[in-house]
Amino acid sequence: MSLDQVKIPDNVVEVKGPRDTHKIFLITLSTCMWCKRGKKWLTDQGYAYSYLDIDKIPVKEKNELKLELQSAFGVRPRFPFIVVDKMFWNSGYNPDIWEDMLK
Amino acid sequence: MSEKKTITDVKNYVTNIAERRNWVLNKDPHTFDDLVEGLQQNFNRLGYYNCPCRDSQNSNKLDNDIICPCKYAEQDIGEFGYCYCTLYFDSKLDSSKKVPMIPERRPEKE
Repeated sequence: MSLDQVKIPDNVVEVKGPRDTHKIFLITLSTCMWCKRGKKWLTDQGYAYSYLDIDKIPVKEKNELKLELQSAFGVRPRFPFIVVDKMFWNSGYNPDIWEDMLK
Repeated sequence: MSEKKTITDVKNYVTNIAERRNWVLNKDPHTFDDLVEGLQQNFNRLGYYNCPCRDSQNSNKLDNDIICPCKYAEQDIGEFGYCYCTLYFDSKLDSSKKVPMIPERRPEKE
């Protein structure tokens, strides 16, 4: 169960921040209010993270990625989908859970 | 391909839906603007109002249940007081408050 099992497309965006102990990867929809809140929460908390707006990649590639995520983590992802240190995941915008994951 | 929608078009669309269904729109201005903008982007690239918070398959047929107002809105508003993306609220609730994300009611496919 690791992000290493998943082929990530190239168009990942890196966001710099002073809190860079954890490797945070966020999979998002560019149109989604919860995803925007998720990005803002990470930025406001000072976390460095990277994200991929999954709606901006071709459908075939997107569906392959979703299947790989499902196979790697055993859950159908909903967005935002956060992966911390390649292994720990959470589906949806749940800042209280994210806070615990990032301690 | 359908005509491009403006922000005003989208606001008129969701206002009509809310009135017809006896719901109220999200009164948090920032959240509301994000939702309207998301719906506009989806309409202008897909040709239909795909829920801004759900992933599309670029197919009107496959996405039919998540075209705004989604098929799950009525039940979600009944159970939680608001729909998945928080655009529509139960008319008895304060729709200006920030609320948590609700569970996904849409069944898994494949």
